Amino acid sequence: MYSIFYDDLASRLYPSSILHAYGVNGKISGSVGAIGEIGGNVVAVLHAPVGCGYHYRYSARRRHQPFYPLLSTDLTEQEIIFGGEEKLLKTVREAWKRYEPEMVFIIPSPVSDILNEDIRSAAAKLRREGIKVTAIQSELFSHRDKNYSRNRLKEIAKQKITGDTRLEIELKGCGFTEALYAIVEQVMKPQEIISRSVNIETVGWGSEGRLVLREMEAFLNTCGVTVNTWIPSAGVAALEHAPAAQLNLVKRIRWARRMKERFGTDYMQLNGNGRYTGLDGIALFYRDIAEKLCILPEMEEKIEKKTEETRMLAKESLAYLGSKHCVLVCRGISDAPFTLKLFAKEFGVGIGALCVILTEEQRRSLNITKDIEEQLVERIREAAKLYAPQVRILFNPDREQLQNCFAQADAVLGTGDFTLEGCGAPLIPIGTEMTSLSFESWLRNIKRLERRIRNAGRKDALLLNRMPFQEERYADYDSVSARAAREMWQRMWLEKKGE
Amino acid sequence: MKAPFGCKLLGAQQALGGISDGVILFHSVVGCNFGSMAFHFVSCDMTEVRQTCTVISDNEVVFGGEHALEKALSSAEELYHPAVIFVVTGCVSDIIQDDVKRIAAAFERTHGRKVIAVEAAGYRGNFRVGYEAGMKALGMLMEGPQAEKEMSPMPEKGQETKKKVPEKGSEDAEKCKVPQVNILGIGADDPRCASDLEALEELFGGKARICTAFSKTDLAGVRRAPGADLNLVFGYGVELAKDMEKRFGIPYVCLDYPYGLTGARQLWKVLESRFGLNFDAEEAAFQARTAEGAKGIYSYLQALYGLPAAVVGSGARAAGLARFLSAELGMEIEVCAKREALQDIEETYDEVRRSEAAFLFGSSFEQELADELEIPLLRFDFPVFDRICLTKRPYIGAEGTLCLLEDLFCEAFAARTLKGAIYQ
Repeated sequence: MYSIFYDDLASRLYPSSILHAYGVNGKISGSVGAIGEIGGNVVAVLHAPVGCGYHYRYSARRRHQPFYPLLSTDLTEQEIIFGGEEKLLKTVREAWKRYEPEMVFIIPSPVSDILNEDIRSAAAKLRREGIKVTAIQSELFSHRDKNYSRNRLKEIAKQKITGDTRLEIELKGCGFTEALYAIVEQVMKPQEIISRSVNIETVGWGSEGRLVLREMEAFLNTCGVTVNTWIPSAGVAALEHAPAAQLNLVKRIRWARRMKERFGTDYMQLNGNGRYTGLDGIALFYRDIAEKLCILPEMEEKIEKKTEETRMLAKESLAYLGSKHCVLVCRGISDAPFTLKLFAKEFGVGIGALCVILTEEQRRSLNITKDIEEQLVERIREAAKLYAPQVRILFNPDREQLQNCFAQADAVLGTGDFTLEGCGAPLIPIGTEMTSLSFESWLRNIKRLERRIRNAGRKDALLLNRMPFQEERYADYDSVSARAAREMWQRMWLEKKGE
Repeated sequence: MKAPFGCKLLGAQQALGGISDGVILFHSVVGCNFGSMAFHFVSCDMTEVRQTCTVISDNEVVFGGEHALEKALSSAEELYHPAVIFVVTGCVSDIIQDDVKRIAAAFERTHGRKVIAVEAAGYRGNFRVGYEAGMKALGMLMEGPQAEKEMSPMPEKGQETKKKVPEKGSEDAEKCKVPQVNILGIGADDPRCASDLEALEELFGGKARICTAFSKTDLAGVRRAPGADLNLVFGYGVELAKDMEKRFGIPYVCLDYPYGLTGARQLWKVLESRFGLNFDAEEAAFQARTAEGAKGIYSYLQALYGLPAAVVGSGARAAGLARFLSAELGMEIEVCAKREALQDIEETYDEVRRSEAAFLFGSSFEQELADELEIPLLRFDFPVFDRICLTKRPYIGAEGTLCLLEDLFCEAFAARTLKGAIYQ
């Protein structure tokens, strides 16, 4: 049995969200994370001093579960002066002999980048010796492009919520993407195209990810569509075979573009920015796939049937939820329109008030100008008109206003902000991802919401609420050093000019 | 090679992270800060973030990182109001040759804030070297003995630094004030740091006191350290101990980590010979408490007797634990590997694979081997990132010995993998 919430717990046992308040990980961790997803016997060689090879086993975007087969070339002062190619070749040869892996992946580090080590030439030399090796190439030094989130928000602000909300922005310098890019370039091989087949990128699906991916596959199978390769969560042979797919379903763009250039594989990005919200959104997702595969007429009937079946199964829950009056609290100004759509339109909950919280801190870190903020607010108003015309919208309500709203509500939805417990209505904590792209996921969410509202009880003696948290960043503990560390990060990175 | 040991930069962090009113400023790339913070958060304290970073980027690599360092120092000063700032350099700032010492000195002059630079480039050493460098840097904050020490006169030049020892039970000994000792070598991010320090003080039975424990103190504590009569070094911190002996005449003794009665005895022996103290009563109490506390599981203890085991850890800890397991629990230590001496951890793992070890003692990373061999793992060495310790549960002293036994058996029970028939 697979437990969604144990998966969630396992994810949270690595305090990633807190750590990201004070920094981002080096991109090595992304590359290690990607390689860690590859099944079978693969080994990663980090071209770096010995300490990096030790610690990056843990700091590897794999929750609290280390990636063990990480070796180091052990760069010392000698290599800093004379170059490290010999040591790289030696380490890879030894790894190939000792572990007999299906593939050795070479990961660069800031040190090898500064030394301008030609990792790809070294890999070519090793390949000539019969060693299967893939070299990941650094696109940016040390870490990913910091402006990605800001640029993305700027583009989202321009979008109409009812329009085509798809958005393609490349993220440069992400170690994970760099690894996928290397897989496309050096692992994948030209293949005969298998009609009606897709590859699916596996990482970034939230708590339910593993289950949802299988559910998606099952539905696609009923439509005659097969999953060719899970990228990168597959063995080396399956990754080699990835170009056989007709279509890539991707979370990240950069590697998919490269695959299209190299093998002609079309792609569809799954971050629809609200496009795929709710049951109709899920149906639209499968229609988009069908359209890309040119089988829409055939799939349409199955999509419609599944949608209706799912809606029927949710009938009682929907009726119950329709009798409830709730308050919706959103801390993400860009997500608020679709969160409202999900609860008001899809789940049919009566939303009396929508409380949108946008702090100075968010404005600053996401570089939200007055114009962008106005655009984002306008989107929320547009969503309210469409999905919940009676809703009262409150921007940055104070405690008293919140309590007044909560006093008339059966429950508070949309947030995991435990500091709002004890304010007059029970809070229904959301998971890390409320709904995903399988019909079953949508149904589970409805049933869970119903169950939680029925069982909602007072949680006004929370241990967490005996501790001080920063009001403007509710998940952050309030201590002098925590505030200082965050501000340091803001100044030294986010506000750094010239990058 | 599969790295047996951590980075020099993290060693420095462990040495300096115990100074509660200091802040560590990594002059390095983001990954160094994030990675070291990850270890700190999971093992120690998520509320204290006394480390930050200059975030060296392309710009600094091309044009130099000195400006970023100056900016970070000003911000750290303004935001943390620290008593001292430790600038710890990583590989990149070292390669681009930023003049960190000059900038630190200039900042100290202009802002009146103590700034200590510690070189910790990972290509120039390992965790131990970084730890020693960090500890030695703390010596720069010491100015001299704070108080007159009846038992520890400053030696004349050329004199032996060993202090005068009154005879046991003599009047002189009675008159002497309680000896003070400094504790070196316990990492600030050891989940049991605070508990072990308390347990250590209890082992002293009020006959000696901790002057400064560098893993849990403040700047005033560091400055007070030269007032101690003895430095007890549990593995790391030897360089600082040598320095303090030279400058302040404080002798030092290197000890294995004092697990169990055997560890306590070794510690008492040092205090007895140095200060004429007697710990017979404490030893009797230790024996009685552990016998009473463990009697309820005597059958399990019998199961450990003769059980083969492997220990992988940093030198003083590995040695102390292996001695405890062997001498007090009767286990057969088939492999005892000290990280400092290893080139490639895989070679040690091979040795364990060849052994008949049924229990493994190591860091959280050794779970890899424990899983492979399907044997339990007790985590006792840095890093420990998948166990927490919120209550007072030391691993040393009489109570600590019982805690260690509890954990040892709990790990053995939790490591079960069998689901079906036993003999199929």
